[in-house]
Amino acid sequence: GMASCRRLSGAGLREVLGPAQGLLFDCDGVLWAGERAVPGAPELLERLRRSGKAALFVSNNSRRSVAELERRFSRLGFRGVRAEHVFSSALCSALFLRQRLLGSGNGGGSGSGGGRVFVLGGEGLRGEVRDAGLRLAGEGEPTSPGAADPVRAVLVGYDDQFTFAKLAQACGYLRDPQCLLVATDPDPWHPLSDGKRTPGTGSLTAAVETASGRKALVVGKPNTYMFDCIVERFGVDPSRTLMVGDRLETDILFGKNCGLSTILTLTGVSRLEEAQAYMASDSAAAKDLVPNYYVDSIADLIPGLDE
Amino acid sequence: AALPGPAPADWAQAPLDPAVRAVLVGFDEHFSYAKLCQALRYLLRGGPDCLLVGTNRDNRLPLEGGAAIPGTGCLVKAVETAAQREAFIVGKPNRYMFDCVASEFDIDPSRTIMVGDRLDTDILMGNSCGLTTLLTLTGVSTLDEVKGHQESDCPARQSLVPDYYVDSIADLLPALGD
Repeated sequence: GMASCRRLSGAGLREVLGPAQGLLFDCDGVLWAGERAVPGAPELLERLRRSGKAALFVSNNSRRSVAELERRFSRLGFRGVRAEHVFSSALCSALFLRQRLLGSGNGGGSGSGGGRVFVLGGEGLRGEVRDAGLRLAGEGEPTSPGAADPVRAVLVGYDDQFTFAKLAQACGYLRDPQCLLVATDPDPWHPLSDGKRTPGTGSLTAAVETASGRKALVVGKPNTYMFDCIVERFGVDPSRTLMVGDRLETDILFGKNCGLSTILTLTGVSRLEEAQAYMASDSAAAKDLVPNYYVDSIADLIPGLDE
Repeated sequence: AALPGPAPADWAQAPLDPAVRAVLVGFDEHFSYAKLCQALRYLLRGGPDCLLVGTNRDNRLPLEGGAAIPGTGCLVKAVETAAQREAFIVGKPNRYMFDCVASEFDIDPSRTIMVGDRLDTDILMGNSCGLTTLLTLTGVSTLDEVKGHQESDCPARQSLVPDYYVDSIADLLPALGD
């Protein structure tokens, strides 16, 4: 049946949180906004830990490596969050490419190590790709079909140094139909701390898709690959896991796609009115964007946990 | 105006020109994330009072040997995606340019031939505007593509089929007297 976007409070909180073995949290707009932790968020994570419930993190933000994210958690006052708990689209894109380029049956025999990856993104993303054992193509390299050490994938992430020249270089590689086109996430824009917006990976991917005539494989939410990564590492049971996020089109749809119950928190991108509009819509696709529950902030979940 | 500092957080602080009422996206080999940021800021500031216009949607510009460079359409798509709104497109296949020409030169569509090399821009515009359409094969589109559209059930694809084709516009010379 369709989710009904009920406010989670009082007895409802205990009914929903009680049976949960763990919670998946989006990060931006849920745990923190810019350099400020959402008030009460660090305490919530601490209380989850004391209740014996798992907290894992799944973020479409492809700017930072999980090592940088671990330091960020600590700097913003969250205790006990380790890199292994954090699933960013940067990490998962690297894992995806490793699977596709270096996985069993690929790349081993030819001696070329699976080929190279042309990354449109910053150092955080590039580092994750390297850490996965992949080699990067350099910027400004000429693209020649039939090269000895071919570029086997173009990875589009958040790239604040994106240029026409890099777009052209990406398209050169994509002339080879064997070359994958992968995007870290579909987000069209991200909020800045002052309420302004900055363009997201989705806008850059649209440019690459248009020039190349190809559709990107999108690793991030709402697609389910990041959940596969989580299950592989931690073996979570979707029926006992809650997804908490601030963006209906990514977090809530991701939860729905992975079979998780979903909680919308209102400290980020999506407004309650948008969820209600989706609920009132006739379209089947819109119904999948409606959360099961909502809270004003994740601090509101604290009373649902044992003391 | 130069942007202050290297990061998006800096660019978001750069002052916006209060007089800007439109963002126009054309072919820009110096397109960058920073410019995309500025475009987004103007569009968010102005809402519907700030126009978003694209010169055309061509996705790529062919070079010799099968290579191509990205076309304006890519940059338009990037801005549209970030701003989550659709641009008004001036160029073919939209009829705006034909209307400009027709109003200035008193053109009778039934006695005018549109000659082009791209089915999805030149021929589509010509067909939409009631012109006779002639495809020349010295450019982007191929006869195989035409066949594909002709054999398709989709009415939208039928509009991409030209009335005539030539291998090159030089083939028209014999028809033009001495």
